[in-house]
Amino acid sequence: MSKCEACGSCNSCKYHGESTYYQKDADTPVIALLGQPNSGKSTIFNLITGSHQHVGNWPGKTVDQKEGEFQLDGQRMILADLPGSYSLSADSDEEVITESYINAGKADLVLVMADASQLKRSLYMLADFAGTKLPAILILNMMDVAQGQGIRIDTDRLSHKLGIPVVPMSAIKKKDYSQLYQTIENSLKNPQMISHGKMHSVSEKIAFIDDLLSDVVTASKTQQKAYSRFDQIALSPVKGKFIAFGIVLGVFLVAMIFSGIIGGSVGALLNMVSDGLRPVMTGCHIPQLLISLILDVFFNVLYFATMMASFVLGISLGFNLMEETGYLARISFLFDHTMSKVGLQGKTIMPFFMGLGCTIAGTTGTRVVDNWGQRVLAIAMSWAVPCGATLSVVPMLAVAMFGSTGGFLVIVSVFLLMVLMMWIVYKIFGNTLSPKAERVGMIMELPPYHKPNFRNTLYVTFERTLDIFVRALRVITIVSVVFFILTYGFGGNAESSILYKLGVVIEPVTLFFGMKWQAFLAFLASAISKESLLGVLNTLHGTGGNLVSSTFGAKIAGSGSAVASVISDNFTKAQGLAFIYAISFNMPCVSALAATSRETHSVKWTAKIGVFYTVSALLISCIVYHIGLLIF
Amino acid sequence: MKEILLSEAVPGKSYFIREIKDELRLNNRLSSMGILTGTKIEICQNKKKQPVLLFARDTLVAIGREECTKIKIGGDSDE
Repeated sequence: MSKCEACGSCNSCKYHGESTYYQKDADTPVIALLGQPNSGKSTIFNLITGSHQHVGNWPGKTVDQKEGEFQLDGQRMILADLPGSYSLSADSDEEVITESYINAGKADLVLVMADASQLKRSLYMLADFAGTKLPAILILNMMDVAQGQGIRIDTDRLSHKLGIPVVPMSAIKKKDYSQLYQTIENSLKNPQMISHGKMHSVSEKIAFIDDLLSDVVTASKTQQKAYSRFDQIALSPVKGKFIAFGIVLGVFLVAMIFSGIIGGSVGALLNMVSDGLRPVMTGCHIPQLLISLILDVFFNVLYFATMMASFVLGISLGFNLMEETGYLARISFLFDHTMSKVGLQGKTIMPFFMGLGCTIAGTTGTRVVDNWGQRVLAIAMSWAVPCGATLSVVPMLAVAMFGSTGGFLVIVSVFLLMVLMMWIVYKIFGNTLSPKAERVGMIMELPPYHKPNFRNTLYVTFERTLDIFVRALRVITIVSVVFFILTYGFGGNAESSILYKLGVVIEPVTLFFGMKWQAFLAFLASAISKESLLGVLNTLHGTGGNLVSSTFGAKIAGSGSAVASVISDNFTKAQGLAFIYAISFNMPCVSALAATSRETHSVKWTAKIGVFYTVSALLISCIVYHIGLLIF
Repeated sequence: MKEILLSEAVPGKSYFIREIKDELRLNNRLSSMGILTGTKIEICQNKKKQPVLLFARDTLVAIGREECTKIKIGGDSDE
């Protein structure tokens, strides 16, 4: 284990986190949570630590490191959530971290999780753990599901055979925690270790589990209970996919409506405040520049970020609930065959779908993928999916330039190119991020369905979305201020802005890519938000408004038929087509960039993918333009 | 019954695992699910272009088609 970054004094420090939030002193016990994915580990972690938690990443690794603190009878304790892994076999980053944490023997107590409804399998982690010189408690989660299936477990006997306390509970029920807390306190005073020694072979571990359960469990599970009638439909190739699309579409629509309501009311509120403030600020002789910066830029940036965050919140909540009920694993099963062709897990289909609403939702949605490389690959591919804002702009441009039939064909071609683009991304990055040699086909348990804890899920989702919102807001504000300075016409019109002067100078170059300077500036402005395209074009072609409010005031300026005539008057068909492709496949807005860097824990990869998309967009635009010149 | 591949298994029938191809990751993942040579499995679903769904050790497990060609199953227990 490397030297502790938090305090530097490795000998006395039991906790080797990067974080400075939860410093460990000599009498703060450290409790570690150990369990397979889907064991309910994160529910327990969240309900014990509440808001006193911090998510970072393990030093030098791309795996989330979750830690938190809580108090029992005035005693402060640190809870470390070890990455979910199937065993301690050092097969993946997660397993290496978990294994070395356990082997370093630094925790005072380990809570080992098992699923009461499928004990034979889920006790494997405990068998792996046996022989470690660490006190432990076995938590039998999902007792309610087990009882529902008629499974009875003699926990006293199990505890006696193991030599450690056993706590039966349901992680989503608050009332079950008092017994857990009591057991933790007792174990810290009177530590108990598993009486069985280390087991080396797999068959030894399996035999240990079978022997353990032989006189402990009555009425073990049967196939009928696990493979329910609902699953027979939900997992069938055609009907199952219809159900899956129905559910995903439902989540999508609910999130759209939710963000529409939130965005609409926040937009209206900001408009009201801004309309009220403008005369007041002018009356107070505040410089016009400052008024514009606050009312045009900051207000609208806040509006963009709120719109995006409310959609992301809705989508993530839907995803997390699907995961908690156990349905997400079914989606993975249904789409495994299709997605495995591009080196991805079946459930990645959902973030791709969500990308149609907002790239950030797609990006955060890749959390469902448990392998870092595959996650980054999924994010890179999801960028190709045109987001809701792009989809609100592109059809209007297409119809304005090519009529309804032509426009429709253009939109279809954008989607075809999207598929091609995803395939190219896979070809370029696939082997680095998800090396063929390391790919393991699906070997996955389908957990039993169970009720989620809605409040806990809502709380966790809200916290995460808030984090993304704050980061996105920060980045978009910085970029917007820079853009504001560049676009602010000191004489009052577009021609006196720095951006105009810059645009005119580089026009010979951008023309090669099929973009006149106005189009190129709109292309750049779309980094702030894709909606701002129309407003910027409108202004640059001299039909009104000033450049600042047209870039930022997209929600007002982006409307309408006026833009359509501006576009058809000022673009040749070849230029128009090139422009549509350029903005469809350009990298997403800066907020999405911020989210990507947060989710991948890698600025390097975010930059790589960003450069790739920018270059591709220009290249596609260039090719389309020059082919267009031959056709039109 | 003679040995067949898991990908050829018949839904509704029970088998025993006879042989798993010697690949470290495959073996690690399967054994963490409690599946190894000698384990009894029941086939729930085996459809084209879908993972094979089976029931083993209290658990519903999905195994990708390619992985299934690396696993041999048969009718009699080795135990």
